[in-house]
Amino acid sequence: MTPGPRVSPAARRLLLAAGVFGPAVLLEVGLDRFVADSSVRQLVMTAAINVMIAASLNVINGMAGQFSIGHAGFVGLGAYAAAIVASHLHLALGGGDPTFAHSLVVVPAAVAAGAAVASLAGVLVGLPSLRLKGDYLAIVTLGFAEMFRLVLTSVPLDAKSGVAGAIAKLGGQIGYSGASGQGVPLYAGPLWVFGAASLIVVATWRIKFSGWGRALRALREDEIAASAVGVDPTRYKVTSFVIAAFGAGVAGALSAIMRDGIGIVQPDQFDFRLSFDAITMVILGGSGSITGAVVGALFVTFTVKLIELAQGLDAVRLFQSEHAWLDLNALRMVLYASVLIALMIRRPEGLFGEREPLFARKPRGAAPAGAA
Amino acid sequence: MQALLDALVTGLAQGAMIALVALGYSMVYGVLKLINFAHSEVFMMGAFAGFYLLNALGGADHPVLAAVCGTLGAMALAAALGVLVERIAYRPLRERSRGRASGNVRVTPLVTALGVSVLLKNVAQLAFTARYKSYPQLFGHTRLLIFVVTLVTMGLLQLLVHRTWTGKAMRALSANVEAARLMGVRTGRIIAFTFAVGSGLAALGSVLYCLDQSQAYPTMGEVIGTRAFVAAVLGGIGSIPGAVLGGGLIGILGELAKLTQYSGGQDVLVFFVLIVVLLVKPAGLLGKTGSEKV
Repeated sequence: MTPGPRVSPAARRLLLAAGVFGPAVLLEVGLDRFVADSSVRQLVMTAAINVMIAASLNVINGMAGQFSIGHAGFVGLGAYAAAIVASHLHLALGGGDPTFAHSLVVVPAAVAAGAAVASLAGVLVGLPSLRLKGDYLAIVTLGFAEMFRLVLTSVPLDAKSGVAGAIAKLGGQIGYSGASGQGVPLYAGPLWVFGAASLIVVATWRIKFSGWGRALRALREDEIAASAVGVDPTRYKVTSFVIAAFGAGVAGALSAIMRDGIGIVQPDQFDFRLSFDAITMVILGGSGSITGAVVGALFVTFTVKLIELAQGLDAVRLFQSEHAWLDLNALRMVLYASVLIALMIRRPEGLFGEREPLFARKPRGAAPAGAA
Repeated sequence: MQALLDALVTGLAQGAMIALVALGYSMVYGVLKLINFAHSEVFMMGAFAGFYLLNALGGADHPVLAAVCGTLGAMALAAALGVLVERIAYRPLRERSRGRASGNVRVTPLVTALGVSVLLKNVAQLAFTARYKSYPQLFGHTRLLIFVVTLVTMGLLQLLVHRTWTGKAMRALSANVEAARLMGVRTGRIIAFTFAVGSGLAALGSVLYCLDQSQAYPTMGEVIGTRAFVAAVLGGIGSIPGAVLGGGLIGILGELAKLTQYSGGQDVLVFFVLIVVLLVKPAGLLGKTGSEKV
């Protein structure tokens, strides 16, 4: 125990805030300048979005001990809502290239829309299934995510009127590329993406180490005992589920309007594979651990990128043309699934368990070391 | 009117096939209280096993012989796969969690089941490629065949569960594992047997389905598996007549949905029904609501 310099709690908070959000501001200015390759920029921002997805799923799968396997549905809802709002606002503001000044209006509106829609869906999905005992949440979330995707893909594109007409405007299988069809305006720069990721991580951190987080853990360990001491299971579970959906909505919204993004939202981006990736991120790092969720998210993002790079190599292409069965993405899923099963059998608590290795709660004065 | 009748008949045949798959979910859930996500992939693997066996047996020359032998072979292979999955993935978890009520005891098996499902699906993708394989067409009246085979199977299963010692052991296990063990039931064997029967039925369902719909592909488990799962929950998971009823309802509902202009909305409707059922009657139509003991 080394006594650090005496800092007042208020100053410490300020320092922490600066430490967390400073990099986001710096990156807003610097990312374009230092990283010339737009695919690298895209990778870094995707990593931040995956961190949001994992951190939010961690609230319900890790802390509350429920099992949601339809996180992609909420991400997708957020993405579509944000894409619609952003592209309409973009037109209302006069179009042209996305400017930073405009992004101060468009991004908050789009993210708010995405988060609101996703949270609303969270209430609708969570209320019936979390009232029940057993594994109904797993089933219903799976059903919800599939429904979301199927509604979008199966709508007849020539429908003109009513609900079907409105959904048909979203482009079905092909995807939604803005109100004018010229691509979703890409407003969210690094400031927004990294800022939101930091906010969500900090928020889930605060939840974990609050009375709320303790109540969730109590529920997870023993629901009957927890409710006997006054923790209302349904209320806590549904609220934490809605928080998770909210986070997923924000992540989806930013992924749709992210600078260096692809400018189109497609239903297949949000299929079961994304949900499974999100589960892998949480479980790998250790369900309940926020550090774990962040590390898991980074790991999954970079393996996906590695596979993408490997697919570009001439040697791999040659090999694939001779062996048509070799589907690298299927191979990746085989690998993830095997790791997950082995982990569950050998070490169900994941890499870190519930601990936060870099941020062990030290006595006052000791500054948190390192950054995730 | 004619269209409606046709839809009902097709729906019943579809429903019978779905019921066969739903039974596997239901039986495993009844015994282990585990949603066996891997079941839908066992169904898919059964379809591929049937495909290769039917072709190897020279289906077109001796349709009846090839169909019977091929189906039985596929069932045996699927049963072996089911037991293997149980042995490798689920049993170690059970042994570890016995007598321990740590936090994620409930989530761990679900993650494992999901992992096995993804594993099998992608292994199939690698082994059989994503291309659709067209099944040999052996019979004209497959719908009638599906229907008859399903009814006979249901009858046999009902006999197995209610009239034999093994069935009694299965029921005992689902009521209370520890008590069953104390009464001399070899729980490990009974659980493996349950997996074998459920997986065999799934393979039967998949071969019948493929003889009717004529294609096998690695993601077929997702489509039929989720429908079957919804059928099991709808009828009351853990109940055999419930699975049959749920299967029938889902099958008919799906065919009726095809009559409307939103033909692609079939699965949307299926999930919608699921959520409504969970809201109104969470234990399913024929399920029993038991109070949880402390």
